[in-house]
Amino acid sequence: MRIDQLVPGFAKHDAISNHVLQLRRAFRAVGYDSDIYADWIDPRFAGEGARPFADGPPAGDLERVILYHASTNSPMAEWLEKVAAAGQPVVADYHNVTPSRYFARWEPPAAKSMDLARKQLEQLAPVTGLALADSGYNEAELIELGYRRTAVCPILLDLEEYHRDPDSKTLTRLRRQRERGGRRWLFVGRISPNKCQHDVVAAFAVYRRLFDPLATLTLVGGATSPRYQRALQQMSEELGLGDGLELRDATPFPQLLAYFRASDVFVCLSEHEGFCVPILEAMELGLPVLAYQAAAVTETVAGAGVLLADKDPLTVACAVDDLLTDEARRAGVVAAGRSRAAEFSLESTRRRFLATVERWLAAEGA
Amino acid sequence: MADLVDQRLTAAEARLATIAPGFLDRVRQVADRLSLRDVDGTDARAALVAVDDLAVIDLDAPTGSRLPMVPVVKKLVKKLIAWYLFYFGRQLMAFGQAMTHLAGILIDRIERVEGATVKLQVEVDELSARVERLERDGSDPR
Repeated sequence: MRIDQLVPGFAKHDAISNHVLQLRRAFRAVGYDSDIYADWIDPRFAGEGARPFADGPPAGDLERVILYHASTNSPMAEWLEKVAAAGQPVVADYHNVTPSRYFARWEPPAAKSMDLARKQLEQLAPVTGLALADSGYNEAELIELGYRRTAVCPILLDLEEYHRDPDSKTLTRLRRQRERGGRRWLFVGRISPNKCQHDVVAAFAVYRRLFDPLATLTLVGGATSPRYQRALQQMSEELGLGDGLELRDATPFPQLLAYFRASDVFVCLSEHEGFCVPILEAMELGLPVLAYQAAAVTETVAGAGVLLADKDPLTVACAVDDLLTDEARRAGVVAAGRSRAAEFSLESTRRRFLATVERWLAAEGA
Repeated sequence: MADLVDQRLTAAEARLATIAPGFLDRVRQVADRLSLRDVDGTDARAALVAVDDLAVIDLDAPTGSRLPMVPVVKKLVKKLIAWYLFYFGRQLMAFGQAMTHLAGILIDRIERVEGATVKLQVEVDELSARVERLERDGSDPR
């Protein structure tokens, strides 16, 4: 029996790609043959053995299950619709598609692509045997789109990797800065209008004026919308943040670890997330999480961080100050975060994923 | 508990108003500019994005046709007028890009002026309150 995976993009430092790799390992470990097919393969990830979708994806063998990772528009979806209608067993793993309204005023072509991705997802609903979702929030979207059999299976993430040595040069630099005083805020995620980095910058500006003039904020993540990024930089200039705000694009993993280690608080004011892996990363590394309760964020934090119903800059700034100046509370939030991250250990998520797929296979008589 | 939070926020707002008058309003206004909004015909930034996209002119005209021989004729015409098309097209593109740049600068300035207006409004409100208070106390505000 084979379970082959189809993923539109296969890239280094990408949560979905790492999930796909972990799944291949898990499938092979329990005796399934399993390969990965990708529409686009990051040259830096070429050694991981993914095959180009253009070279001819598998079809026709009805003993083979195709697991499709849905997160963007792709020619794979149209191909899948055809082969599934011909009897090929198809499982979808939904990682969420950002609503296009967030991109309409910044990147119109990207907004169109998101609309197309949703349309493709809807078209796959009648021919998909099982649809998996990273979160209950994503599952609700699948049900709304007409998927009949759904289940929640968290993303597979090797949190042990986050305990590797951070980049010593970066860590030393950040610690030296820290010795000069000032708390360090951190948010990790692509620079994208739905992630609302502008709200983090606004809250940070108020925090600096009110509580800590030497505080710094680092936003780590490549720009999904260069226009939004430019507007963020302009906003920072207007609010006089100067060196207080650091925008970091491509950040190698050891450097990212240094940022997690040297920061005081992880602030997420995103309005749309299908799961939000960086929240778990922060929790695993002992960084207290403060987040706006929206989309799947509430579910991911699950009471193990400070959740805010309002993200007015003053409210957020005061909430961060309250958290960082009350040591007992901060320690409690850190401990709760570590426990929450432990629930996503690779062993437990792998077991849960395999059990769900095998239950479905048994029900299908495979 | 909610009362305590409200009191804390009110105190923080009062303190911020003392150390940096009008700053909170300015921050809120600047952040609002980048927030989610439905794009309609009046959104300046969305209009700028549209102009930006249209400022790039495709000078490579298609030459295909369902009619026989027409592609050959089109290719010939294209070759004949290529020098003129590129000469004219490049100037048009440069003009379009300069206009986009200008529009971007103007939008930035308008947004800054809007920000300054909010700040001034706050100051005017504060001064009006002060004048009223002084008049109520019977002293001459001058």
